[in-house]
Amino acid sequence: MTTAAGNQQPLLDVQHVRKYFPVNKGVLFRRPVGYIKAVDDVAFSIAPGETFGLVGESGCGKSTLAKLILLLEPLTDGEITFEGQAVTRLSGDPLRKYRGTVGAVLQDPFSSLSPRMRVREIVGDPLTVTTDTPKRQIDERVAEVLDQVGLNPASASNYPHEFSGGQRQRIAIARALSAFPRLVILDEPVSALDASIRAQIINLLKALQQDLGLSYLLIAHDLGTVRFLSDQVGVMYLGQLVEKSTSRQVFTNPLHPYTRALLSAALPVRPDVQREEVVISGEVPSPLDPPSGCRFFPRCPAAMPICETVQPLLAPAEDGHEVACHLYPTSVPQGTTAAGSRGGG
Amino acid sequence: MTTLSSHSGNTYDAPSSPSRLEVKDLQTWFYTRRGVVKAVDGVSFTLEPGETLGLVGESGSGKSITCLSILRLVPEPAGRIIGGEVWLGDTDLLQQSRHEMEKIRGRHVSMVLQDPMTSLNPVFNVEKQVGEGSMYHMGLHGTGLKERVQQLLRWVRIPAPEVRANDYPHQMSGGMRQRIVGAIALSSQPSVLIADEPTTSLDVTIQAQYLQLLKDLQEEHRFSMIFVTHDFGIVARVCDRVAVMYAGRIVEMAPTRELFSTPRHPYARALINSLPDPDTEVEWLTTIPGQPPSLYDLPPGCPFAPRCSEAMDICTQQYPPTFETGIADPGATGPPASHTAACWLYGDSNR
Repeated sequence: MTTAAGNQQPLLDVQHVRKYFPVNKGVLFRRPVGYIKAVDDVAFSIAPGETFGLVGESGCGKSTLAKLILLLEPLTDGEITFEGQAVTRLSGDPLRKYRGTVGAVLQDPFSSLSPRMRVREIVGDPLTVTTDTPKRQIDERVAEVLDQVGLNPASASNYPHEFSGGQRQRIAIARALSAFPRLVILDEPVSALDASIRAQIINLLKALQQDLGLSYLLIAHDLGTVRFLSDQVGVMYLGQLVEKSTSRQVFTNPLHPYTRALLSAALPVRPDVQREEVVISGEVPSPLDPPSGCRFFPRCPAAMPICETVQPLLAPAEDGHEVACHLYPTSVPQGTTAAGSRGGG
Repeated sequence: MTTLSSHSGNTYDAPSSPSRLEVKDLQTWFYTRRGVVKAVDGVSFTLEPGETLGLVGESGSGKSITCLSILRLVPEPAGRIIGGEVWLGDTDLLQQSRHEMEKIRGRHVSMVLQDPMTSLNPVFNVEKQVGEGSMYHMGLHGTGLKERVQQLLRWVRIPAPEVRANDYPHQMSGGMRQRIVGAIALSSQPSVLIADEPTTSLDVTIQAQYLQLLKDLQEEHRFSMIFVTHDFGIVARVCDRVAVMYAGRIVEMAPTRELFSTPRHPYARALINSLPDPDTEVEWLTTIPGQPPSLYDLPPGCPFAPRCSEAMDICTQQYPPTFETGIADPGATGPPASHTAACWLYGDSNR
């Protein structure tokens, strides 16, 4: 029996995840003098068959979050649940199995594919590493996924340098799919590709998702790609989610001033599209010493006194649309007076 | 007699006189072990004073080599400018001696490169690098040079320039570094600024700031600009006119709005239609089949023909000349108001 989509168990559930990198000083006696809070209390979930798009500028923690989900970095705090099972403390065989069920496609197919391995070895590698599949079955599986991504299965014995950028990214996608993953992490999957082949790869990713029922975590800075592929979108700023909702809501009705600035800065495809002009001043502050209160307040065009002292909470502002901003009363933590939220002005 | 070198007196303080840049049938080929690469093969365009021309194309389409050819900085001996003319005012840059080019480069034509991390020298401070052009082209030194550097830093909106002048590049953020590169390019008030993907390494909000800065500076200092990019969104925001390049040639040239509203060349049309648009929702994106061609072995005829949905017999046999297609968008402006496409669809027999 299937439950309603709303209360379906999420495939991936990320709860209060933190990742702090210590900054050490001293030669003989190295001691931490501070922490870079790369990811600071982030929570979201991905439903089966859905795409969660993460947007934000470089250094905001998107890629660190991806590494945490792939268990390539230990968490400082928090919990990641996959198919209802806590995975953060996995080791040995269960960890091996988990790595097979989560695939990854990285940005640059020129550096993510080993030049010394044949396509067969590259694509079959996740199966070799995470399962005990016999070699003949691996070869059959490689031929099958190469076909799925639109490559000739006969190309399995070639080396990556014999392929163009778009074809290499297809190889990288085939590798991510070979061990039958449920979730694939796409970290800037098309930004290194030529414009005329990006659309091919983006369409391929969407078709594969529909055919195989995959979930995607999409990290991209091109908002057009994010809107096209994503069901849910999260906006990150300095290690925290500042807005989270359905793709349509975030793009048509952005609530957080930072999201508005991002959408405004994202260049429209057509010159006749009129955008709300929000050019924000300044640059992203150092995550080593983030601003107190709301991390965006030094650059925010709508900053109020409360923003400097009280950190806003990510909370639903209107139907399911979550935002962390004092412009919305739900973001003001309890115990702070309503008068305080007005900041006296 | 060249008017440019006649400037060589005490007039360097003033902006160099606005000149028209005209590139005629430029050909830059690379001679490699695998064969001849016609990186730029018959590129012609004009850049009016104060105008911004976008040069768009995919990697390998020849946009950067076109710019390097204008500055005569093509990597030799593999690369050679084998034909064409580049007129700045009434000087043909391709006929100048090496020595004369040194006086023109940075003075009349200067360039902003993609990555400020590699175009700035990490072992010299900002003052030294920003001041180099003023020292060389204007003969400034001592206090005069110091003041000039601070003036340049103020132009590009560097806060506290007297302090920042002593910083090294690593002490600055990416956006600030790229503004330093802008200050270097502006230091002799050139009449033409070539910006080669200047915002590719910047974040979107910083990119928006930088593009705004370039537009403001252009207003203040009246230079014309060649803006190289692969991003149609940037073209829409900063360029007056656009030239679309494919496999070493310009396939379409039109005022910006006109190009977006009525792209003529099938490549430009397909490329614009394939862009995922953050403002709309669609089920599937329009794709362009196939891959960009290898420049080592270009097909005879039009290099886009194998990927083109409207290819005819003649397309695979003969490279199309550039046809004037006429302005379709009445709102489109920009001198000269012409819309050209190198495509047989616009040949006389097909009109």
